[in-house]
Amino acid sequence: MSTRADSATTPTRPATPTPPPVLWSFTLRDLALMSLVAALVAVGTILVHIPMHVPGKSGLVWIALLVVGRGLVDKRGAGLLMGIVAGVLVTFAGLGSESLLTWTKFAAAGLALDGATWAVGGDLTRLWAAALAGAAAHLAKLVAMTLVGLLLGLPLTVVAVGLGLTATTHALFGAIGGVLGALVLRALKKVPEIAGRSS
Amino acid sequence: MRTRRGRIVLVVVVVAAVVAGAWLLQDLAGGREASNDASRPPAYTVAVTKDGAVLRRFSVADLRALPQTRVVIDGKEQDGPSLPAVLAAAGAGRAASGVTVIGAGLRDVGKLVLPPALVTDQTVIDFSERGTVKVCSPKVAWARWVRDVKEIRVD
Repeated sequence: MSTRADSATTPTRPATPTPPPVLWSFTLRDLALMSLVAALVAVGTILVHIPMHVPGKSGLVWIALLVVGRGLVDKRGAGLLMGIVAGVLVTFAGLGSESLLTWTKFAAAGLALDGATWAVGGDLTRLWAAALAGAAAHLAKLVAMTLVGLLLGLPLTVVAVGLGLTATTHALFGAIGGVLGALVLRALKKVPEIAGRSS
Repeated sequence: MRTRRGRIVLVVVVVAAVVAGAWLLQDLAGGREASNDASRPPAYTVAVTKDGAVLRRFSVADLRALPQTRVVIDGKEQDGPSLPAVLAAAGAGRAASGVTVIGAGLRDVGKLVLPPALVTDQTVIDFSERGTVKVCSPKVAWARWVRDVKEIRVD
């Protein structure tokens, strides 16, 4: 049974005040982190070219980054918001090399990452969970690209060329990207300034 | 599917279904270039056009049958027929005003205008792993390359 004397001898640390949300449930810290990750996704997509003749290889970089971002800001909609921001950056800062609908594939990946993260229970530092979420996100990007192609009036024969292999490698690279993201996330979670509460 | 395990199984099933669906869609659409079924028309072709008329349609197999060139760009080998070889095989003659390459526009802006000075053996129609081709050259920035080429228009 605690007494007033006990509480006087064992002082407790004052609880950290919860920062007020700035946009929906996101705090200023959340928005800053998501913007940073989205910018890294855009830069990685535009500048990093992996010398392999395999479709979907770029997912190794940007899916890993999205997983890191979603892991650091563990809130619904964080993946979608990062995807939209990264997509807009890639579309309009891509030195004129990207289709105007490029943003849709990043938004689809972010949305799928949100859904998969919810499904696996939220903790993306677990390798299998991050792999599954990464694979789902990368495949969502491919589905979005395929649908955009069909909506643009491209013949199914053109859109479907090599689609089976592409889907397989997208799932594989998405899963590997997810694992890489989880490993980075584990390291970042040890840094108090970064791993601080996001709510 | 209220439990976490149920939700995880659902994600796994969806991922597997998307991959399986992609293979199915590819087969249904005839999108496998490696098919040996000669009775089926090629799923993907590249048309060489001039003044609005189609001079010739190349399947990937047709392009592989042409003399092949290799250029190394940023340490990566790009293999395929050169652009002049494709134009010659189509009977397009010399591209006095250059060439416009038009692609699907899914992975890039889908259009590249090449002046006559860039219609050289260094400009290659490279085969992608997807079964389509792209146009690349060491003298054209990677960001401007056109993937999933559909048409090569002689201007």
